[in-house]
Parts: sequence; C-alpha cells; structure tokens
Amino acid sequence: MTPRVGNPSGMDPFALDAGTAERLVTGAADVGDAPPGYQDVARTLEALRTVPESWELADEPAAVARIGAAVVVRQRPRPMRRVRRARRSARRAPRAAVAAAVVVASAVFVTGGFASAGSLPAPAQDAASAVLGKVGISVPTGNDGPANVENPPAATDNAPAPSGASDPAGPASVSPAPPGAASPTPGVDAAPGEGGKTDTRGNGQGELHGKQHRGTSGANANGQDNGNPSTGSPSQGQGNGNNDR
Amino acid sequence: MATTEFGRVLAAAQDGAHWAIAVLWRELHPSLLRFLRGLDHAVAEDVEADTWLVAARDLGSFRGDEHQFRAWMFTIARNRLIDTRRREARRPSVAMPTDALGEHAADDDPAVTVIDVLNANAAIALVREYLPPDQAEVILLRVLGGLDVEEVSAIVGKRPGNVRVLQHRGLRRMAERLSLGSSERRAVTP
Repeated sequence: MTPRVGNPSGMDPFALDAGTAERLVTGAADVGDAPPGYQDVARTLEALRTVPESWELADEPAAVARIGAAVVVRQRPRPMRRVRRARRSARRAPRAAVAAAVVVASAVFVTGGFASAGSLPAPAQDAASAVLGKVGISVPTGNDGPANVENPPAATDNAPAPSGASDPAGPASVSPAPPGAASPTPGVDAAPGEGGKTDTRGNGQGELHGKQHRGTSGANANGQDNGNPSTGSPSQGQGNGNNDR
Repeated sequence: MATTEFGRVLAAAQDGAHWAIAVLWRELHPSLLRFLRGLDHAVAEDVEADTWLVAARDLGSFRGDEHQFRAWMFTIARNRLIDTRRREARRPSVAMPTDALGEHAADDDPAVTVIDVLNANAAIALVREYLPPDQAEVILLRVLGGLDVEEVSAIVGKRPGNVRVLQHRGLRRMAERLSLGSSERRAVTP
C-alpha cells in the first residue's frame, strides 16, 4: 500500500475509531481531548452547540403568540364536533325524507293498483273504494269485482235460473216462441232430469233460448252453445251443465 | 430541564399557556433553526416557523418525555423541509448567471472564516459547505438535536449502521477539509 503524500509515517492522519466519533458528536470530547486531525472538527461542533445569541431569540413574542393561537384553535374540538355532527344530520335529513317519500309513494301506487283491480281483501277493498270514491275514482267494493269473476253466474241446468237478474232476455225469449213450431214430446225431453229443464218447451224454444243468450250473456251463451238444443238430448244437456260448472 | 419540570411545561403548553410555549420555544428554536440552516439556508426560517405551527396543531396528542419531544420536533422540521423543497421544485425557476453569485459572497463564507473565532453561524456554514446533505443531516441531528443513532435512523429512514457510516464519513471529510483550510491559512498568514 502506498503511503499518503505528506505523511511519511504511513499512518492515516484522519483515522477515527467509532468511540472517538461518538465522543465528538455527543460533546464528550472537547477540543483538547480530540485527536490531532480532529481538533478543528471538535471546535466546529462545539460552536454548533453554543448558547443561542440574542438575535436568534429576538422573535420570541411574535412566535409564541402565533404558536399559542394555533394551540388554542386545537383546544376547541368538542364544539366543533357537535357542529359537524349537526351538519351531518342536516345533510342526512333530506335523504331520509326522500327515502320515506319513495316508500310511501310506492305503497300508494301498489295499493291503488290492487284496489282498482279489486284484488284487495274485502274490508280493505271496501275502505279503498270509499276513500277513492271521495276523490272521484271509482273502484269496485269488496262485494263485487273479483268475486263475480271467480264465481260467474252459471246458467246451468242445475242452478235455478236467476233469469230476472242475470239474464233479462230470458223470460222474454221464451214467450215469443211460435206455438207449434216444434212438437214437444214430454216423455222424451223432460223425463231424463234437470238438464232437460230448458228443453221442456221443445227444440224450437231451446234453440231460440240459445240464440238469445248468445247475444246477451257470455256465460249463459256458452252454456247454451255447447249444448245441442235442436236435439234436446238429456245426456248432452247434463254434460254441458257439468262442464259449465 | 428536569423530567417533572418538562411534564408540567408540556401540560401547560398543551393547554395553550404562553409562558410554557415560550419555555419550549427558547429551548428548541435555536437548535431547530441551526439544523435547518445547515441543510437549506434559503428556506430555513420559513420552515422553522411552519414547524412550530404544525407542532402546535398536534401538541395536544403528544405523549413523551423531553428527549422524545426533541426527536418529535426535529422529525417535523425535517418533513416540513422536504415538503418545502418539493414545492419549490415544482415552481418554475429562473437561472441566475454564475458571475452574479461571485459578487454576493455571504458574510459567513467558510473560506474567509477563522476557526479560532468560530461562531454558530460559521460552523453551520462550514457543515453545509463541506458535507454532502445526508452526512450533514446526520451530524446536525446528532449534535444539535442531541439524538442517539437509533433516533436519527428513525428520523432519516436509514438503518443505524448506515447512520454510523454517514456520521463517520462526515467527520472525516470535515477533518480533511478543515485541515486543508488551516494549511491554506498558514500559507497566507506568515
């Protein structure tokens, strides 16, 4: 190894062990204790640690006031939190109101739809009919509407014909039957049973009855159409009546 | 400052007592300003003032003794300096001719400093002039902050071994440069 220039002894003049370095930076080694090459370093580090000069502390009143103001601002967290919470709740209130309005509107819409369709339970349907009737909207009550659809007045041969109510054309259609248009054979037409009630007046009346029903009431017309009034067959009349039921 | 004394002062400062803030400021302000001037002379005063405002904002949440308080303050100062440098780097700068710099030599130019009458300002200028930033930072934190290797390593984000290496290199570099300066002075002064 080539010795450094200007250092005939061959030793590194700036060699520094860890302990000396630590003493220098902590101030444990003053200028007199420092190794020969590090006396200026010790003096420099000592100068860094000197007590502050007056000009360095000249700004104290303004600085302390500035810092104190910042600390005081920090010391008011509770009122600020309350205000923030109040602001948060105020922001959330419109959202809750909108959500509630949407729910109510949906409920009204759905209930109104069921009420107009007559699908509500009877008490609710009555109530909806009464309420909506006051505002000019007519919806079926609990007594009509879907009950009529589910149990249509069947003009079957079994049921006693509510001719006056559901089939106003019925009685009228019977009377104008031309006398003698058909030759009734009571033994054949009336005897087999209930299905033959409409056919007791003969084929001509039965056919006329069927035509009349076709034009007035769908339910009754179907019953009559499926039958064969021209034949007046008791078996066909019975079967049609059962099918209608 | 005794431990109980520091605890009382800190509690009062956290309540906003100006006398306590003044005690803390007198204790730490010179060291913080010297540390920042050793790293960046131009922005040191602004960064130091900003450091105190940040510390005041978070003072209520600080828990620890005087030594930890010093480490906390130097950490804030270093972080504020880094932020300021980043902010300055984003600003457009106008190049200054190098000839103009020679005409405005600082009063504490280390080239004209006589070591025997060295004051704090001149010492800071020497450290800033002779050492790379990472070595200067480690030595200033150790000397001015009174922090040990582990605390400095936590502040600068380096391992303790690396901090010791930087410290060793910095001291050696200072010795070499100061020795060179002394030789030059001896050559000039008969």
